[in-house]
This record gives sequence, structure tokens and C-alpha cells, in this order.
Amino acid sequence: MNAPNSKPKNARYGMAIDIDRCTGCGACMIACAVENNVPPAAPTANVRTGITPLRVVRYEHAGRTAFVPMLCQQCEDETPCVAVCPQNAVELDPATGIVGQIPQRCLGCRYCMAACPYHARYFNWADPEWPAGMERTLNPSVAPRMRGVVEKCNFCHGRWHEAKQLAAANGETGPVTYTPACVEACPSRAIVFGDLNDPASPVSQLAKQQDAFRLLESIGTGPKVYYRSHRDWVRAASGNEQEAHRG
Amino acid sequence: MAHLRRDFLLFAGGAGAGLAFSPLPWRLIGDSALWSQNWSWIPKLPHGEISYKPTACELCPAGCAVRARLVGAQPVSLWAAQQGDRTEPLCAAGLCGHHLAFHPARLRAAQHGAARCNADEAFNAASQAVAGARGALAVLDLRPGRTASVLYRKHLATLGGQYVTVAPTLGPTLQAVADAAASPAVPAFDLDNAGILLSIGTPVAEAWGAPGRMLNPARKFRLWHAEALESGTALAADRWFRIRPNSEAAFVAGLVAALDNDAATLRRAAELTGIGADDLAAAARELRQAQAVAVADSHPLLGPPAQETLRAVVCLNARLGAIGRKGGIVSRRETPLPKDWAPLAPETALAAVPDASLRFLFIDDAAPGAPAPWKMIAAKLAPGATVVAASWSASGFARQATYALPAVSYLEGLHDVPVPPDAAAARFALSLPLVEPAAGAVEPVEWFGRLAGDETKLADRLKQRADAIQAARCGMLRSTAGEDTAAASLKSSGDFWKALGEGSRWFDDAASLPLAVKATPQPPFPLEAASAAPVALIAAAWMGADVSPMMTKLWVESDLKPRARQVFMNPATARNFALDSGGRARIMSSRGECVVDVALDDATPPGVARLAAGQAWFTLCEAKDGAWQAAARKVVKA
Repeated sequence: MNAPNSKPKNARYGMAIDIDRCTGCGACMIACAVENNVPPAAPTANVRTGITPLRVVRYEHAGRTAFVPMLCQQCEDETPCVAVCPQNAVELDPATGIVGQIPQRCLGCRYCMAACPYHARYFNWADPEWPAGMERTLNPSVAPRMRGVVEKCNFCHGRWHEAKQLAAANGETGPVTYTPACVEACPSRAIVFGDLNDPASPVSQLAKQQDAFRLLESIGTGPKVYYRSHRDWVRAASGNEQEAHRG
Repeated sequence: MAHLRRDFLLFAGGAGAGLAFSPLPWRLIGDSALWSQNWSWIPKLPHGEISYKPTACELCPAGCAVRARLVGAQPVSLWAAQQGDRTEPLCAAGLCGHHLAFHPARLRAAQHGAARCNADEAFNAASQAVAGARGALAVLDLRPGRTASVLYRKHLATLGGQYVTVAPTLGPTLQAVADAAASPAVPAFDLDNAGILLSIGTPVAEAWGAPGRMLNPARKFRLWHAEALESGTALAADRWFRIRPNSEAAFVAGLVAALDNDAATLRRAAELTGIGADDLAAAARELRQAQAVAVADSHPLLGPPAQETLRAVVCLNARLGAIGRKGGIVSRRETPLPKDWAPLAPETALAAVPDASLRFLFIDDAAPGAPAPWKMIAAKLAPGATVVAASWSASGFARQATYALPAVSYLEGLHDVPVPPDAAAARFALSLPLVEPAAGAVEPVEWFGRLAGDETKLADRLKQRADAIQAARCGMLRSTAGEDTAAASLKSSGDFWKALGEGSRWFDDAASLPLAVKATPQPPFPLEAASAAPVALIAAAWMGADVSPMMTKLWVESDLKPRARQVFMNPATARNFALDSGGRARIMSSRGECVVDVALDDATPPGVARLAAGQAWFTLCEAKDGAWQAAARKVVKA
């Protein structure tokens, strides 16, 4: 517990994803959709118009396969989506480091989608629809998004909120520990989540490993999602010059 | 002061320009965005007290422990249940099992052919058919190993019928060991003490044991896997043997030959599999030293493996010293049964049922994920046979059956889960009813029991079985908190039943029963010769595609999993047949032909067509040596 008058420290939530452990089972994608009230595919949906805030991408190279879970990289430097949004519908929360999307403010201009170098944002082309009765299974902690707005991964902000409320009820301030749905679901334990500001946290230590890298690191967006792989060809595909040379 | 028209225009223009710099237009845009985003048809979130209930997943034999999150009485999410200090996460299908009740494909009323009918009409017709079909009636159980499965066998013993399964309850490899055992035994894999699990094309990390256990990087055994494609299991394996397509039997025979110092067979196996003879020999040596055990169960959606492969795997396990050894294949006790349930009809493989011999067939298809090709079932039916399918879905068997009955499915009724294929000892756990079943839905085994004159409810039968387990006074109950209690220490069977209802699981003691094979199958095993087919056809299956519309995330809104009627080919292979990505191909086999969408895939080896399992593959395949196999005779652009 923090001292009564001390200012609580900020968190920098981040992820470390071990690509070598990912088998492409898709449990994280389903867990994400269930947790965040993302509807099943609309009749007209396809790979480009679907909504998959976390999408496992199959990457093939010389007859070998790697599965790369792609989600909002939670950029913290020059965050492109924040910079271009005319409505302030995208915000970088200094208390958590989470890049939040506020659908009620979103105009649907999709500047942020164009600006995102990771293609990690999705547009709701249609109103969310669930098969009859299935809306009763929605997560009460997350509001469904409506037609005409952009959405993306927010590190399960609903879960963070619940953890924060619980901590507050216990008189605790400062960063809280919680687990996003994809982390809880991953049967290979390939995804590790935590506070990058905490040097003792597993995610913080994994991010410093020799095999850790970030996607398109050279463009200076400072993602807080770290990937890990021992395979040179996987690292070489990260879009980083140094990784390509290492590979 | 006179006001000119110009002044008025200037004022209006200035006001308009000024307005653009005021907050008003932005406020208007923001508000109109809000108004246009809160329509009445946007679903309202459920409200109510949030609670958690433990249960067990019954979508596959792994029977994972589940923690359901409920709002009021409605489950809103399913997560892996904590079991003491460990959690075994669920698979993608298990995470959305609570959607099954609302699946648009659910069968919601009894049908006679394509028309709706009264459930009594179906029962009367079935009664008449059963009365005239003694000795020629059967139950096809697509999810064997449950208490309901035992009850089917009990009722069939009364009615004089056969209990039929597509793949054996024990699993193909263990059944092959049981068949070769010197005395009646229930073999089981002792993976907790194994050094290496050698998987011969078995999807151990995808559709075999609990994925949370198989994919756990902290698992105690090493996983070696032999398969032509880089599947999820191949990716999770510590060592992957990339063998040539359809050379599983040759791979096993090669390992046996290496252990037997049979150089000629080893060389031939190396040629067929593409794995060097030295590598095979080194692998065989390491397997023998490392307390290895081999399994050759195929994907549940693709039928059992060939008998010859299974004989070779039994031989390999014997050569490795795995049979009867700790960390190999041990013998376990059966989950206790009430004594008065005997006699039970024996289990018969679908392939062993004589053609055109059944005049009445009841199919238990109460949950998705266990199809069998209809043509192989239809071959067993006599002309004019009556087929009743208790089905979860309006498609599939419900379309072919004479009568289709809506079945109580996962989370809708009190059920138990089978002993998983990776369990070394018997287990018993309950899957609790958390959702109201649809009006008119039947519990398949209760419905069939009425035909045999047994009106007992399944829940009562489960209680009887729990009593029998408690009376055996063996094993222990593990609570959701991870606390173990010896079953013998419980005061009454009521306490035992109550604990099961609260999510506790019963685990039998690891029994060291003798297990030996009376006659180990001996080489030579047939090494499949290189096929003359223009392209090797391999079916790609994944579990749970039908469980929830949410699974569309994996194949409609991404390309993570193959779509129905889709074939993956290496670009070089596709060029040979003048096929392009997005085009269509007509694949012909000796049993049929199908038109499929072509997708180019660098990870598919040249000369291989990876076809999504399902109707297209069923059209092409045929039963051969107990397995479902398909060989492409011709591939052309469609």
C-alpha cells in the first residue's frame, strides 16, 4: 500500500509474446472477442472488413510457419493514431500507458487506421449483431461498439477497471495487477503481460532478453508489445534493420 | 444610420465564419456522433449478480475443468478453472461453449425427414422399428466413454443390439494394446513419468489431451512429433520429424527396424519418409534410452488410423519397453460401475459392422465436433432401415435421419465427462446444467432408454455411478481450490455427490496393475509404397469449428484456419495443375469428386494438397484397413 500522501506511480503496461510458442490455435482471438463483446462475423465480413482486435497472423517463410499474434502495439512515442485523431477519440493514458479508443467520440473518419503502421485498428462497417439470444451472453463490463466507429485492443480495459475498483476498495493506489483475456486464454503461455515500469515483473525481464524485438522499431513509435523468437527468419521479418542484419 | 443590404450580408458572412471557429460545430459533430451511435437495436448488456460456477467441458474427451462466469443465471464466459496452483487453459472452442445454446444451426424441433413432427410420433415409430429389429439394431455413439455410453450398452444388452463407435473409447493406440494384452486390461498412457511422448501424426496438442497440458512449456515429458505438415502439434513439439505425406507407417516401421538392426527395412523406411537412416537410428536409440512411449491416434474428425499402423506402433512400444512400464503404457482400473448395470453390450467398431445389416440405428450426436461420413454409416443400413438421430444441429445427421430429435447439449444438462486419452488413472467429473435446454429437447440416452423400458433419468444414473465410485473407497477428490480429500474419508455418498456438484473431480489412485502383451505384432509391416496419385491428399482438421458463430473469427475474419471446401497448395504444385489462388479446382478420387477453392500456401510441401476436413473430403475418401483414406486420381481447374 502506498503512503497516504505519496503520488501513485504510473504503470506502463506491456506484453511479451513468444512467437516460438504460438501454435496458432486461435484461443486468444476467441477470448478477446468474447471478453470485449465483438460480434461474430457479419454476413459480408472478410479478412479485411472483419473485427479482430487481436489477430493471429500466419507468416510463412521457406516452407516454415510462424504465428504472430497482432494487436494494438500500444505505442508511446509519437503515437500515430493519437496524433491524427481530430476528435480526441484516441488517448494515451499516462497512468497506464494504454492507448484507449473512445467510441463515443469517434467520427469514423478512419485517419487513425490509415496512420497505424501495424494495421491493428478495425472499423465497424455494420451494427454489431449476435444470433438471437446470444446477446444474453455479452460481457456486462464492456459496451458494444456501434456502426461507424473504429476499435482496437485496449489491453482489456474493462478488466483493468475492475482490478482498479477492487484495489481502491482495499485502499490501494498505484498500478494494479490484472490479466487480459488473451493472456488468460493462451494454452501455450506464450503471452506475458505486466508493468514494464516494474523491473521485477516477468514482462519487464522478458522484454530485455536477447531474442526480444518490437515491430517496426525503427519508425520510433515505441511499442509496448515485445515479441520474442529464437528463429532468425522470424526476427528478420519484424521490419527492423538490425534484426534483418542479425538474421 | 441606414443599414444597407451589404451590411447585412457582411454580418451574416462574418457570423458564419466566426461560428466555424467556435466550439458549436464540433459540439454538433460530437453530439450527432453520439446520437447516431445509440440506437435501440444495439444490444443492451445483461444485468444481475455476477457469480462463478465450476463445471467441466464436454466438447471433447479432454474434459477440461471450467469456471463459468454468470450474470444472474446466464453464463457469459467460460475460463479454465484454477486447480490448486495450476490452470490448464481451454481451447478456442471451449472458450465459447456457452454460445452453443444460441447457435443458429441448433435443431429446435423433432423432424420426420424435412417436416416437423411430434416427438411421440418419432418414439412410436422407433418402438415399432426396434421391436422388429432385434439383432439388427445399433446405437452409434459419437462421444464414447461417458456414463451415457455405458447406459447405451446396458440398454442394448436388453434389446439385443450393437453398441457402435467410430473410434474406440480407449483411443486407437490403447485399444490396439488392449487387443494384444495377455489378460483383460484397460491400458493408459503414464505421461507424468514418461521421458518422451512420440506422436505419430496424432494431434496431441490440438485434439487429444487437454491443450493446456500438452502445450504447457513446463510439461514433464518431451514431445516428438512425426507429420508431413507443420501443424499446431508440430509447432509445439520439441522435435518435429517432417516425414513425407502418408508415410507414418513407414516411419514407425523404420524405428522398429532400427531397434531390430534390420538395415534393409531401415533404408527403405528412410527413402519413404525422407528422414535419413542415420537420423532414424539415432532417434530410435534415444527413444529407447529416454523412457519413451508412442501414440498413433489420428484426428477425431478424420477417423481411426490404419490397423497396420496401429500394429506397428504396438510393436514399437514393445521394443521400447513401454508396455507395462512406469512412464509408458500402464494398466488402470475402470471407473467403478453399479453392479446391477451389467450385462453390457460389447463395443463394436463402425468398420466392423457388416454392410446392410442394421434395420434400426440411433445416433447420439448431441454435441458438435464428432462427425462421421454419412456414406460409411449408410453402407451399414439395410434397405428401409429407420434412423433416429438425437442431434444438436439441424444440419449433419439430422438431414439424413428418418427422425431427428433436438438433443440436450453442453451446459444444458447434467452430464459426466469421459476419461481423457492422456490420463493414467480413471477420473470422474460432472458437467453441470447452466442453461435451460430448448423446449422439446431430449436427453438422448433417456430417450433411447425408454425404448428398452427404462424410465430412469440420466441424473439419477450419474448419482448411482457416483455412489459406486464412493463405495469403492479408492482415489481422491480434488476440489476447485486444489485440496485433495481421500474418497474413503467421506462420510457418505451424499457428501461425495455434493462435492462433485461443487466442481470437485474424482481421480483414481495410480494403480500398478500388470500389463503385458501376449503376442507382440512382429515385422514386417507394410511400408506404403509411393503413391501414383498426382498429388498427395491430406485432410486438415480443427476441432470446434461448429461450436459457436464466434469461431468465424478464425476462418472468415482471418485466415488462421482452413475454410470448408478449401484446398491449400504450394505455389509450385498449383502451377503444375494451372491453378491460381482464389481459383477453383476439381479433385477426383476413385470414390467421388468435389470442387474446392484454391489457396496458395508456402508452408504446404510441394506435391501435397491440404484439404479442409468436412464434406468435400468425405466425398473423396473411402474405408481402407479400418481408416478413412482418400487418394486423388485427378486434379483439374474447375
